[in-house]
Amino acid sequence: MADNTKAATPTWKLYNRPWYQKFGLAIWNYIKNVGLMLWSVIRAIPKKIWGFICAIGLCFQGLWFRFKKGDWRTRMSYLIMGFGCFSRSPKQFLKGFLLLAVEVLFILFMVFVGAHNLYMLGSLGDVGWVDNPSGIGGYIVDNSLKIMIFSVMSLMLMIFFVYMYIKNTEIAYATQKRVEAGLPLTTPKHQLNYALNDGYHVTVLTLPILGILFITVLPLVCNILVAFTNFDYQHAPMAGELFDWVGFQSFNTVFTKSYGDAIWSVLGWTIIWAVFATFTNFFFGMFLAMIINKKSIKLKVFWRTCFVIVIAVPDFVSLLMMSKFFAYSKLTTETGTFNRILMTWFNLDANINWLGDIAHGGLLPRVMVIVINLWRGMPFTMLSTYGILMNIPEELYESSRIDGAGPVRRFVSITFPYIMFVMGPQLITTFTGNINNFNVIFFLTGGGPNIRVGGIAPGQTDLLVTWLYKMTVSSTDKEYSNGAVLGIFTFIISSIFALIVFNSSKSVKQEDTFQ
Amino acid sequence: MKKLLATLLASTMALSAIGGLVACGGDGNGDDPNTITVWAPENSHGSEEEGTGYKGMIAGWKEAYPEYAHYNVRFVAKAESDVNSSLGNNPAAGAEIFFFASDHYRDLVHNKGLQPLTDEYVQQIKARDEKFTYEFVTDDDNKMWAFPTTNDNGYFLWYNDEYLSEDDVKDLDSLIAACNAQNVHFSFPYGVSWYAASFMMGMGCKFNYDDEDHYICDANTPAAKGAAKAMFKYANSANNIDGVKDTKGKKTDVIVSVEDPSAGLADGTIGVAMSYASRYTDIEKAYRNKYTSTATGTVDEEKLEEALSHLKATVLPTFKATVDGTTEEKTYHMGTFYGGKYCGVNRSKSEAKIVASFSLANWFTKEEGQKVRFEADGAGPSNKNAAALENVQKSIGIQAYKAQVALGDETNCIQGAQKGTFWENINKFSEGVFERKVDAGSDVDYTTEIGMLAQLAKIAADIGN
Amino acid sequence: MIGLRSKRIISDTVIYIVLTLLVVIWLFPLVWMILKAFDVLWTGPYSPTIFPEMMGMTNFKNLFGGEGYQNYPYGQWLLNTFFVALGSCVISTLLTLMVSFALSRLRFKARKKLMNIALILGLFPGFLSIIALLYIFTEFNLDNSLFGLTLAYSLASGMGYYVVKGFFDTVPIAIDEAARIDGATKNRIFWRMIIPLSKPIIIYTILTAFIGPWCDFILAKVLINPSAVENFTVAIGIQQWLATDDNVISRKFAQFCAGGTLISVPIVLLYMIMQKFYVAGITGGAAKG
Repeated sequence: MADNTKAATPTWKLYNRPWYQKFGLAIWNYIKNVGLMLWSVIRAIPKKIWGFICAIGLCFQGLWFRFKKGDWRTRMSYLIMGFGCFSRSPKQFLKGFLLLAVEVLFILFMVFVGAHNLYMLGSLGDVGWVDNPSGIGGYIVDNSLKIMIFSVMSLMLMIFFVYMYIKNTEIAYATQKRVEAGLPLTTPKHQLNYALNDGYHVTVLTLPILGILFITVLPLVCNILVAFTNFDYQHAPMAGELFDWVGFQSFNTVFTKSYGDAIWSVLGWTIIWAVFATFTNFFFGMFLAMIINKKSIKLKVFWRTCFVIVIAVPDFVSLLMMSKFFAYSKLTTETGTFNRILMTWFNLDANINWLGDIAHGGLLPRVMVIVINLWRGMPFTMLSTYGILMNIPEELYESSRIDGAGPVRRFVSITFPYIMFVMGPQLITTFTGNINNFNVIFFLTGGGPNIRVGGIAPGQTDLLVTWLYKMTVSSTDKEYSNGAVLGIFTFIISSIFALIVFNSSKSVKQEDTFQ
Repeated sequence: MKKLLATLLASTMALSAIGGLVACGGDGNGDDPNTITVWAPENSHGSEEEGTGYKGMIAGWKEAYPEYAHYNVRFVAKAESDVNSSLGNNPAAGAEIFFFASDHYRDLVHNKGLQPLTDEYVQQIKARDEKFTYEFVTDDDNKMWAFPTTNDNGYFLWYNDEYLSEDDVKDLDSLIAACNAQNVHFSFPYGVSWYAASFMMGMGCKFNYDDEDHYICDANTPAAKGAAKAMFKYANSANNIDGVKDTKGKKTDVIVSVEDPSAGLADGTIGVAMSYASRYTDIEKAYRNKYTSTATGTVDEEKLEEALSHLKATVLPTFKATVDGTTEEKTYHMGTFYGGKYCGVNRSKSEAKIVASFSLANWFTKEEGQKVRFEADGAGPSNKNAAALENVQKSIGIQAYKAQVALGDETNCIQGAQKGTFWENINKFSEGVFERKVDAGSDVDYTTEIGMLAQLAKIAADIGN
Repeated sequence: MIGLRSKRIISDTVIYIVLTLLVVIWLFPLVWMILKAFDVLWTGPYSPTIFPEMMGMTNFKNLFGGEGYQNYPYGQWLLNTFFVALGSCVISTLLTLMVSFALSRLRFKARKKLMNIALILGLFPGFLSIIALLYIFTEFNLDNSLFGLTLAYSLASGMGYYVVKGFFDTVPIAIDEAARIDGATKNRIFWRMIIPLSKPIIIYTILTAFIGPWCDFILAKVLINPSAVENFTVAIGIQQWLATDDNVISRKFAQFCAGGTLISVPIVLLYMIMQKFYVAGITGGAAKG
C-alpha cells in the first residue's frame, strides 16, 4: 500500500523532506525568481524603447494624414486649436473654446515664463546679486533654482500641449468626418454626459493627478537635476550666488572623494537596522498577541489598550522624551532618568551612555535604537497578528491536539505559517518603510555618536535619510547637490527591495506548502 | 435631508479650514513693509511695560526718530549661535536686525545677510567701542559690517571656594589634586569644540581665516601635538588617581564634560568649571532652585546669598607640556576663544527698511543701549564707557573674562569664522582622548599616544580641506 | 501528578505576571513624562530626583500665557495645526475617494499603467521630495504659509488609494450594473450609491487624514520658516523647546512634557476611534450588498 503511493507521487514532494532542505529549496526558488524577473525586465527594455519610437512615428504619420485629408476648417485648426469645432456649428462651441483656451494659455505661459527660463537652462543664470545704486541693499537678477524649476514646468507643459495638439487634430478630423457622413454633431448636453459617464475617469482623475504632479513629480525631477549641479552653501541662488551644471562631480564626491567608504557603511547599517527593527517587532508582537489571545486570559481588551496607548502618542513626543530619558552625563547626579533608576532602585553601578557611547563603532547606541523602536512599534504588529490569530479556525488546533502534537509543534505547523502567509507582504512593506524610517533615529540620537571624520560625516546610527537631512537641512555648510545624489541612491536601494517585495508577494500566493 | 446636512457640513468644514488658514497663518514671504523683526536672545528682550531690555528701548527710539515711529518692531527669540543657520541661504526671509556671534561673520557677509555700515555709523563706532571688537568686522576695503554689541564671549574658570582655594586653581595639577581631595569634579566640556581647543590655543595655535582669506588650522603643528600629548597625560593621570567617589563610594572620573555646570555647582558635585560669563544667570537659577523649599515654594534668601558668595571666577589654569620635537617642559596657560556678539542689519531687505534698521541697531548698541542690555541679562558691553560702569565692574564673570583676554594673543585666539569641519571634528578628537572608548588597534585608536597623534593628523587634514 | 486544570492555572498566572511586567515597562516612560509635566522647580531635563518633588500647574499655564508666551505661542500652534488638519482631511478624503473609485470601478486604457507609476513614485523616499518642495513653494510664495503646508499634506494623497480601493473592490458589481440599467451615469453611481455604502472606510480615511498633520514633523519643519513662530504646528513648536542652546537648566523640558501630554490625549482618543472604524470597514463592508 505504501509502496504504491510512493511510486505514484513525484519523488521531490516537499512535506516529506527535512526542514533544512525545505528552507534551502525555498531560498533557491526565491533567488531564481528574482533573477528571472530582473532578466525579463532588462530584456523588455529595448522592446519598450522601440515601441515608443514607433508610437511617435505613428503620431507624425497621423498628423500628416489628417492634414492631407482635411478640409480647410480642419487645416485651420492646425493653427488655431479648436477651429475645426466651433466653426462648424454652435453646438461644438464649448469643446472648441476649451481647446482654444489651452492654446492661448500655453502661449502666454511660454512667453512670460517659459521661454526666458528655458533659454537660461544651459548656463543657469548669468548675474546673481546686484547692488542698489545707493549702495544700500540690492536685488537678485537671476536665480538658478528658479530657472531650473520653471524650465521643468515648461517642459512638462510642453508635453501636455503636444498631446492636446494631436488630440485637437483628431477631434477636428473626426468632426469633419461626421459632418460629411451626415451624422448630427454632439450637443453640449451630450458632452457633459460623456464627462460624467463614459469619460468619467478623466473627470475624476484630473485633480488628483495634477496634485501628484505638482507635489511629487515636479520636486522629484528637480531634485534629480540638482544632483548634477554644484548647489551648496557656497552657491546658493537665494543668497545671490549661482550654481552650474557639473555633471557627475557630486556623485564622485559622495561615493569616493570626500566621504570615502562612508556611504557603504551607512548603507550596511541601514539594512541591518531595517532587518532587526522589522523582525524584532514582528516576533515580539506575535508572541504577545499569542499569550493575550490564549482562551483563558481575561481582560483581553485592557491588555491590548495599554499597549496601543504607546503607539497612539505621537512620534515626536514619545521619542524625544525617550532621548532625554536615556540621556547621560559623566556626573552621576546629572545623568538621565534611566541611569538613575538603575542606580537608585536596582542598586547597579551602571552609569552608561546608552545613546552616545562610542565604543566598538557605536554599538550600544545602535542596539538601543533597535530596542526603543521595539518599545514604540511592537503594539502595531501585536494588533495585526492578534486579528489574524482570532481568525484561525479552532478545528485545526483541536485536530492537531488529538494527533498528539505539543504546543511547539502546533505553533510551527499551524500558527506560524498562517501568520506568515497573511502578514508576509505587510512585513516586507514595513521593512522597506524602515529603511526610510527618519523619525526614530532623528529624535533618539540625531544620527548617533559622531566618530567619523570628514565633511558632513554620517554618525554611527545615521540612516541614509537622516544623513540626507544632515546634508540639506541641519548643517551650516549645506550641500544640496550631495544630498540629491544620496537621495537618488536611496531610491535605487528602496526600489530594489520593493521589486523583491513585488516578486515575493506573487510567489507567496503560489506557495501552498502549508496544508 | 440627510444629504443636505452632509453637504452643508462638508462645505462648512472646508470654508472654515480655508478661513482659519488665511486668518491664522502668516503670509508666505510677503514682507510687511511696516514691520521690523528683531532676532535677539530671549533673556535680552525684557519687557515694554517695565522698560527693561531691548523692548523697553523702542519707545525712546521712536521718540528720538519720529520719522520711524510708524514701524512696528517685532521681537523673536533666537540664540546668537542660531542666527546663521536660520538666515541660511535665504536671507530675504529673515529678520531685519539680528544679534549674531562673531564666528558667523564671514558666512553672513557671503550670504548677503549683512549690510555694510554707512560712514556716519562707522565714525560713531570707532569713537565709542573697544578696538578689537570693531576691527574684527572691518574688512580690507575698510567696510564695517556690523555693530559691536557685547564683549564677553570667552570662557574662564568658575569655582566654589568652599572646596578650592585661589591657589589651588592656578595650576591644572594642583586643581585636579584638590578636586580629588575634596571629592568634587572638574567640569571641562571636552565634548564641545569651543572648549576642547583650549589646550592647543594655550600653546599658541591659531584657528582663523587670515587676512588673505586662507584658513589657518594649527591642529597639526608641533605645538598642537604637544598640547595633545598633554591632554592625553591629564586624561590618563586625572582619572587614575583616587578618583572622585560618588554617593555609592564608587570611583568616577575627576574630569567630566558637562555642558551646563550650574546644577552641579549648586549641589556641590562640581567644584570648578570652565564656562562663560552669562552662565551666571543659570548658576544663580540652580542655586535658587536648591534653596527653594519644595513644600512651600519660598526661597531661603539668606542661605542663597551666602552660598552665592562662595562662587568665584578666575583665569584658566596653567598646565605643563612639551612642544613636540623639543625636550623642555614648559608651563602654558590654557587659552580661550574670545570675541563678542554683533548686531547686524539684513542686506536683502528694502532700502527704506535698511535705513530704519540702521538707526534702530545703532540705538541698541550705543552706550545707553549696552547698559540696558547688561541690566537685562548680564552681557558684558563692548562700549568702553559702559564697560567702566560700577555694575559691570562688580560682575565677577566679566572681570574674569577680561583678565583671561588680557593674557594676550599668545594664549587666546580671537573667535573668527571657522570651517564647519572644525566645530565638528575637534570635539571628536578630545572625546576620544578623554573617554578612550574606541578600540585599540582599530582605525580609530586613542588608546596609545601614537594612535592619538595619527587621529590628530587625520582631523587636521580634514579641517584643512 | 498535576492535573490539567492546575497546569492551566500555573501557566495563566505566569502569563499574567509577564503581561503585568510588560505593561509596566511599556507605560513607565509615559507615566514619567506625565508626572514631569507637573514639575515646577527643575524644568530642565536634569532634576535631582527621579519624580518631581514640587508639582503644580505652572507648565500647563505657561502653554497658554505667561511670560515668554509671545515666543512660544502654544495656543496659536494648536489652532494652526487644527486648521491645517481640517483642510488637509477635506482635500485628502476627496482626492483619495476619487482615485480609489476610478481605479476600482472604471476600466480604461491607462489603468494598469497608472497603478504601476504610482507604485514606482511611492518608492522615492518621501524626504527627497520634501526638500525640493521647499524650493518650489518658495517660487510660488507658498513657503512659510499654513496654506502651503496643507497643500503639501493633501494634494498628493491620490497616491494612497490602496485601502479604500481594496474596500471598493469588495462592493459587488451587481449594484453598479443595476444602476446602469436604470440609466444612471457613473458620476451618480459614485456619489449616490458607493459613498453611502462605504461609511466606515470613509470615516477611517477622514480620521487618518486628520491625525496626520498633528503627528508629522519633517514636512512642517522644512516648509515653515524657523523664526516665524506664529506659523508653527505643534510638532515643530514643542521640539524647539528641546533644541535650544546648551542651557540645561533653562531648557524647557517640563514644558515640553506638558505640551506633549496635552496633545497626546485627543490623538490617543482619535486613534482608538479610528481603529474601530477600520475594523468595521474591513469586516463589515463585504457583508453588505
